[in-house]
Amino acid sequence: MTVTITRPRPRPRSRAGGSERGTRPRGHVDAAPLILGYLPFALVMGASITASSVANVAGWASSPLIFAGASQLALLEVLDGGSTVAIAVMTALAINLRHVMYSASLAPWMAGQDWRWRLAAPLLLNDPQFLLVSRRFPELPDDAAKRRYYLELGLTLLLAWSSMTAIGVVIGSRLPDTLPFDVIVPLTFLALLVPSLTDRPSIGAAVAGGSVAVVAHGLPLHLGLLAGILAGVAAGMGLDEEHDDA
Amino acid sequence: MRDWMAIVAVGLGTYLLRASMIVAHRTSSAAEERTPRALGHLTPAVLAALVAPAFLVTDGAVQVQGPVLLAAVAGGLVAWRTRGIPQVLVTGLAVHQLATWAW
Repeated sequence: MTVTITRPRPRPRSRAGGSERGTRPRGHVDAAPLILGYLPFALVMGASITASSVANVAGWASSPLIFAGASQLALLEVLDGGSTVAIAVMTALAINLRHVMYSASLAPWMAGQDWRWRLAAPLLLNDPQFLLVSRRFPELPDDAAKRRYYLELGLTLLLAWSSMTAIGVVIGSRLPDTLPFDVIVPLTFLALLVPSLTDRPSIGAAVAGGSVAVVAHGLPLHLGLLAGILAGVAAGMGLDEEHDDA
Repeated sequence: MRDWMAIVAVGLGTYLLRASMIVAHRTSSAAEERTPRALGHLTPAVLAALVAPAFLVTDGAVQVQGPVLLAAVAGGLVAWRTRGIPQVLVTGLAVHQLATWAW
């Protein structure tokens, strides 16, 4: 699932004071407002599954199996467009490559946990999980409390995301065919895109990615999409260099 | 079958991405600090590459449709101001509907 929530606060500890003093953060409590925020996304996701060529059960299974909304919706779009498995998988994984950063960020703490925990915990490590865990971990007293918070949050989000997608599938199959999915789906992507435009390199990446994808849209097998992605990343890296040199 | 293969492959691949640094924990070096920055550009690049053709390409040709473009502009402004998906969807769809009637 990609960010609807605001960026992490620079000073997590300062938020812990005041009214929250003495009460330990609980994962399922922190999950509640996020779940509300993700509800429309999950409904769009579920309804898009029913409107696509992808079987309802397979499309729904992407929620527990992938557990990252933007990549699930992109995968659905590309598969529905009749592309090859390879291109569809590459597109979705490209969206999820940022999870490597989350993995790197939690790695030092995870190194102190046993191997079963280190193998299982990444299953739940998506955008909201990472943002909240990084914000809350400094407030938690010990490893046991951190592990419990991680599980409370992650399992609540997993359960909620999977059930809300299911509701979307059920409602979606009963909706009239006239709903403009050709507008709803890109609007959802747009809502995810705009908050990711945080500096010049990210804006450059988006402009280059979008323009090349439009110009190259005629290429077979959705290769225009990959061309756009590569151009975007190259532009972003180019602007990084410029920034470094300055 | 094709769809299941793709979904399972993305699920597995995403797990490997999330587990990568946790399982193979090494202390960070300069090279590793650079890599995540390139990865950070993927999200805007991919999302823009999905969004732009969806709004600007119709039936295989680059053409601007008034209602769709208005919905995109309104949605973009709301996304910028509120960062909330519900607000973007409601505004975008309302503008699209109104513009379709008016066109």
